[in-house]
Amino acid sequence: MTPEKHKPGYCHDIDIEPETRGHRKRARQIADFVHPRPSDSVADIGKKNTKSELLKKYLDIEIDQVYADDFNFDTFQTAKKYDVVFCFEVLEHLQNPLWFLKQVKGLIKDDGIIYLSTPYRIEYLWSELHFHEMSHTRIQRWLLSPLGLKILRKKRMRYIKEYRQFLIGIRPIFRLLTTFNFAPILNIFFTYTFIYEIRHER
Amino acid sequence: MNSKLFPGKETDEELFVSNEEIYSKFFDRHVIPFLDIKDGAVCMDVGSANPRMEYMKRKTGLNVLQLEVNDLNFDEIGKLQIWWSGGIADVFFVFDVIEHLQNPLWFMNQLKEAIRSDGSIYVLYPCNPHWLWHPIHYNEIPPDHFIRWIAHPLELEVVRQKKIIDINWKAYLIGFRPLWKVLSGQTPLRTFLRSLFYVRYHIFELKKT
Repeated sequence: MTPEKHKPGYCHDIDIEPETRGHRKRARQIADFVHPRPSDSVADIGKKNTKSELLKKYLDIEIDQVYADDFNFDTFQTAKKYDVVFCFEVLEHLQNPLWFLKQVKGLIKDDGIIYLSTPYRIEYLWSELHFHEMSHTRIQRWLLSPLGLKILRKKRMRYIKEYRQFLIGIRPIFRLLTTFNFAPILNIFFTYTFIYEIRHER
Repeated sequence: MNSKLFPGKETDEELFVSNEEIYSKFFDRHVIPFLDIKDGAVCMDVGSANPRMEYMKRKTGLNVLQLEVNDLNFDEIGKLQIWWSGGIADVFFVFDVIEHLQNPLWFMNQLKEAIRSDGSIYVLYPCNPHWLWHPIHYNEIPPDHFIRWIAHPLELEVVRQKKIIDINWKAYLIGFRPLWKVLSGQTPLRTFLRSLFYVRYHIFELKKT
């Protein structure tokens, strides 16, 4: 059952974001890590968005979008099973991540791969759109082991900001001094997103 | 129990160790004065029977039943027939449960389904800074986070809430031995700091809106 609600964490439509240097660089980083074969069936969790479109172009593959209204409660199983499932920056927004990953596990074949990315920072720097940011050890212990999944590889990706964002004058410094909120500045230097290759435990 | 499949459930053993002194301090001072329960209300305590709840029952005279569920992350408590004297539960006690769950929204939604329309859910959990989190806790949700991400989406009204600081002063007066254990590498530094600073809890009373 999906309760009627306003959904924290679903506050912006990524599908309408214009392509930026940040998107291109992030898609390049992901493309360097993931290795789907041309014959592999690939699905991406979430709405069609700028990053998934760029990945299609860089990897030269077809990607099916698998979407549900509410990833916290909906069952999103498809008749088709996939060799590779992409799940980029979804997990940290969810209050029921184990439910979600159980659904994602149901989408892959027995020898299929899940590529999952999620940011991890100290709590002070968490985005207000994120319910919970986790380290890889916590993801493995609390979310993957109970489902019989295992992280095989991981890679750290730097947070990418547009240069212009650093050059907008004294307004950010004024805001920092008036609110004592150092998180936006610190986020520039200490934000990392991790990408994981996940398979069934043998 | 396979703790790999059910991480966080390792805590069960600790719950069964009776420690009247700790219960009396914590419950008499912080929890029992917070409760606002009518006489004759049917209360359900989520989790296994434990001496802590036995102590509270004895002190308050409440009629508390245990709701033992195999897997709180997935089981549909809302579909269980929780009948007692012709009615559904009036009150749920969710004490030290939610921090162990990987699907807290699912669990709270199930409780909302199971409770009477004017019933109350009391949620008590530790909420310490991230670096102090207990290893058997999945997520010690900050109170404002709990309201925004759990209560509001489920349309549960926060009737009352209280921050609890439970300091055990004796812990600071036990001499040099704990410090020596840290310095000699027998105890991890974080475990030592946790024994001193792991003091923050939060209790909510929630109702259906």
